[in-house]
Amino acid sequence: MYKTTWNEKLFDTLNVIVLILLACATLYPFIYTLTVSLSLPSEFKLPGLKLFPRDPTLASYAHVLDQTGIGRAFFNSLQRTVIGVAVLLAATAMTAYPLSRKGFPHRGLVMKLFVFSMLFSGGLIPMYLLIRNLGLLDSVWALVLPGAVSAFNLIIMRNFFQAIPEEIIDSAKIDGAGEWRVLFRIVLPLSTPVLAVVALWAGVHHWNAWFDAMIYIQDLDKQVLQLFVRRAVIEESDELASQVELLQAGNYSSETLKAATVMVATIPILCIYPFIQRFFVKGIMLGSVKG
Amino acid sequence: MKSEAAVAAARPGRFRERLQTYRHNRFLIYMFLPGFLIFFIFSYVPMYGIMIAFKDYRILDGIAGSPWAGLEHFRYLFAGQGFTNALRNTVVIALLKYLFVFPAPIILALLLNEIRLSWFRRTIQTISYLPHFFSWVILGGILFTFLGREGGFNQILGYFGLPPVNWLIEPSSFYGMVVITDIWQSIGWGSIVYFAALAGIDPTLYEAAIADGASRWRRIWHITLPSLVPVITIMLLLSLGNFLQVGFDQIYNLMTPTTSDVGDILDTYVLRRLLTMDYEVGAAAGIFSSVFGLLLVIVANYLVKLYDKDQGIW
Amino acid sequence: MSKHKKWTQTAMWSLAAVLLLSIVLAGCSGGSNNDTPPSENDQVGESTDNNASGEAGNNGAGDEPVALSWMVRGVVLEDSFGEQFVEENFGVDLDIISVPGADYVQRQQIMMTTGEVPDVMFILDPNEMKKYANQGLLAEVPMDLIEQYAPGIRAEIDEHAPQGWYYTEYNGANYGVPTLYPSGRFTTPVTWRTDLLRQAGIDEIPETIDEMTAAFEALKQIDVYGMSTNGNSYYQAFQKIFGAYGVMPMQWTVRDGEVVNGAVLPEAKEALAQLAEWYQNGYIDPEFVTGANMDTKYTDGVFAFSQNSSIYSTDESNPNSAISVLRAVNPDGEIAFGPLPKGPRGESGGWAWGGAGNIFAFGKQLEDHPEKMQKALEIMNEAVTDQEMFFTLAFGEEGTHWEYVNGTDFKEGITAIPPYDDPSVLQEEGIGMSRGASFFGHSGIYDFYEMYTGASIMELNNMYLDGSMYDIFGKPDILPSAGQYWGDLQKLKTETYAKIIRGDQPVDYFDSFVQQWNEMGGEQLREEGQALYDSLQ
Repeated sequence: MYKTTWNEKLFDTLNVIVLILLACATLYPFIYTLTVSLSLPSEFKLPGLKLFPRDPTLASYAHVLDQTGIGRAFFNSLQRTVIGVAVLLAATAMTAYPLSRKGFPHRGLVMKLFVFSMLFSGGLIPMYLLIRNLGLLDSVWALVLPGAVSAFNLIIMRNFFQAIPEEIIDSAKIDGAGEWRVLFRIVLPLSTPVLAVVALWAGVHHWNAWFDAMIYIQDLDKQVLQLFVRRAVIEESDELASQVELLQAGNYSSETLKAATVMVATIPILCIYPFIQRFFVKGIMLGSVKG
Repeated sequence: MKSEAAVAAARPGRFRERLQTYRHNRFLIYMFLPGFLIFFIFSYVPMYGIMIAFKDYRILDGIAGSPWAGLEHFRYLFAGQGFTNALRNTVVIALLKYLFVFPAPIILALLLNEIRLSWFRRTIQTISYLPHFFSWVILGGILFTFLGREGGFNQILGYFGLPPVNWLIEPSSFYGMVVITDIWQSIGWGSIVYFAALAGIDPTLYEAAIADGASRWRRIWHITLPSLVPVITIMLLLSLGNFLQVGFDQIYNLMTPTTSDVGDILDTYVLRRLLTMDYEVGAAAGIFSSVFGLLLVIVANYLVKLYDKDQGIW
Repeated sequence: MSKHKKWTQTAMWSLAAVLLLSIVLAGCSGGSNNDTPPSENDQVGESTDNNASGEAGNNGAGDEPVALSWMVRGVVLEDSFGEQFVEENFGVDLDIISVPGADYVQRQQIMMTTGEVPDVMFILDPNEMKKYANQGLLAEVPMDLIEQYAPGIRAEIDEHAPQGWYYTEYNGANYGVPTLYPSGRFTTPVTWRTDLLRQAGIDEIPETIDEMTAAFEALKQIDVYGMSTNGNSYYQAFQKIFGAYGVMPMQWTVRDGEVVNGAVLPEAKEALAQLAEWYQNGYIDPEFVTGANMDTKYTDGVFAFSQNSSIYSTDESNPNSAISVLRAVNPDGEIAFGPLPKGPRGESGGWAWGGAGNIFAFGKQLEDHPEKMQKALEIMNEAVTDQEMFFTLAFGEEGTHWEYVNGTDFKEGITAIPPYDDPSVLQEEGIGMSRGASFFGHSGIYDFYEMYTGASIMELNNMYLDGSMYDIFGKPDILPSAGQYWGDLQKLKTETYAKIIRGDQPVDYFDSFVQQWNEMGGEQLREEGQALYDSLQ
């Protein structure tokens, strides 16, 4: 049996230290924003690293959650995320799997089409007109369909599919399995890690996206949560208004509200990662089965 | 259609062969078409919009009806003072990022992979991806405080007797800060795809290697890294298309008048030239970096295929 | 074989279907660019045909209401108080297109570019308006018409903000109505940390550059910087110091009949020499270039002179005013307003935008429906000049939405009643686009501003009125070629000034900066400015 050397123990120790330092550094913005969001506006302006609020208050959260329509916006965001991820996973997997099979006709050409689309786009105006002509304005499909089959996800997924040993698929086919069966019974279960990654990417993308909603969704009842965040975070673009009127508004502390808004929009999506993580481990077990 | 039929008639053997492949793959094609259709409609139908970069866009005439402007918008874009400077900065930052930021998530994935305590591994993983969720507007504010003269970072340096430095203001340290803060923001999130790849490695390989008495290093070098190579290759190829997009949000939020010389990138340059939204010039700028990216991807994909025929995007 | 054939057919058909569909879609979306504006017009035409029949009666009472689509910046709920109020009082049928402020510019651009042009729209930036006018999307608004239907606005702009007409001018014609911006007439106040001054042994608030130098030296002895500023901002950076030398960088101004830009005048070089000296002596916060955390540094006692303060800085009743925040950390802290610092020639000044704000413009389709434009002008005029109308639309009803600060009259100004102290709640009611501005006319006339602001704040404001320096065009970037050059010039100015002040370049570097400025389009813009100025004299 293999024995750990002194050398390796040193490596393990250093590794743990490095990772802990990294964790501290990456945790900081979260702590900082959380602290600010829990502070009184006047306290925000005090100096310091803001590792904990001196006098915690939920006032900013109360204000943020009190906004008209925020519950509705939360639901809309959830809706687009769930539908978006489901449609994206299904459509991308169904498109990627054929492209991972060696004999699929025009495979090279299709891949080139995908890559090209990643680099060039027609821009905002034609896209808006397309969405409008398809009658998708003010519909969740305007947010879901355009990115449902994107080159990036497709290529990543196809590459993982390709890594599945040919023999497994062939033997399944000899047993009489059709392509659909192969996809759902063999390829997808063996690819849970990449499905998890793509689902995570898609979920986070849909949760965080605001530009498309801003353009395609005009009905205020259908707006998404991130537009609330944007309203809180972006600087007043109008120089004229900013100089005097904002100063005069005075009793508005945007910083704590900003932080609370960011937290309200961020925390829900942070919660899904631990669930996604399980798939990474599961993948290892399946991997051992297939060997 | 007619000509296709003619071609088919001329080469009956090949045509039949092709039909055979279609037929053989028909279920795959049925599976493929719906997704492809969605892709095609939303990616290629609006593609005619590219013309706008070559047109003098009149809203009332539409894109197709507007008069052609030739390369006028490109000329306008590149004629500005400081274009070459912006291009040079962009390339320098891009190269630095490929050198330091691109490998960072891979290294993180490898380091985490060596951790055996699963709760520790999971916790670090979860924490490391947090900064991804904060916009650079927010991160910029935090960084200016933390890296300022009186900020936390200089206080830490002070314990080691080092003099305080205005890290984000000094032009000499700006690129370093851009690279470090980018790693900080993206390392955890970027490593997720590598975790997925690591999860796919057959554990029996390790068991066999351990039984053979292979050291840790040899295992990493001969088992872990090789199984990451396909993902690394594809991530590299895909990112090359955006070579000239070196992170507008980050640079824009970290730049100050003292660093705008070294920090001015193509995106900030274009923004400056578009006081009011100018679709034509914006499109021209986009096409420029897309063509650049496309060339890089084509060359890189070719090189990758030279090395291993099965890798690459197409 | 037949099976084979059948499959070929299927393949061909599906391929053809894909192609056909994409072509049709491409055609639709490509062509609709042509189709849409007319169809939009048709729609408008339809709705106004009804009006047109009524219009024969020539705006008499009892007519069918004039239909107007009105694009507003802010979240207004359907059938809001404001909407109903206007509909009842003016006999119009409003279709409010409400777009949240943060999304406004982009949504407006997309709507305009794809042919959805509202009848009346609020436009933030003159540059935007000029672009739309250039694309033929806006109706011309003859000055006579404004004179006839909105005489109050006309008079007020002429008197307090004539530069507003530069905002709405395009190619020699007028395309909109400038909005009033009463508070824009004042430059921001300057404040001093008088507690720090006293600690440093200075008992009087410094009033001149020389007194400031002395005070800064004393402050240095107690480890406090004299001043900081937002060095990232092209207009804020050290504006009050430049003002002391009688110059305001980046503003167009007139010297002996010649239009020139303050950024390249010799007085700016003088001020820079002074600033460079201050910097070298350690009087200026070296982090001024970031423009970050100015509030924190001021309350933390990093610097003592704040050149861009809020008019409410010393209001102890407001928990977020500078003084309240300061007292929370330091009970002995003190903040006091000071005069604008005077330079060697006794001059003083600070940046102000002037009394004109934004723009109301009208869709091209209104050229065929003069009665609509007239109605809209009437509404704007009343919303701005009629006291009851203005207060109702900008603040709501007394007792419900707002009350007098002292309970009886305007003397101390007015204040909002919760929950309407939250501007977004008020907005949803269609009231108060921003403080003192309505959706249907924006800010009221100057007299109203004095009323709701209250005498004590007005007194403070007026302290800074004399020193307020305006760009002759209101905003410096409205010139025809500004889109091409202004961004680069801003960068050049901000960068060079920072370099000279920080000592990275000698003060004489200013001369080569002037040359660069002119080569990079500064001269071209100057000529355009001259032409525009001459044309409207």
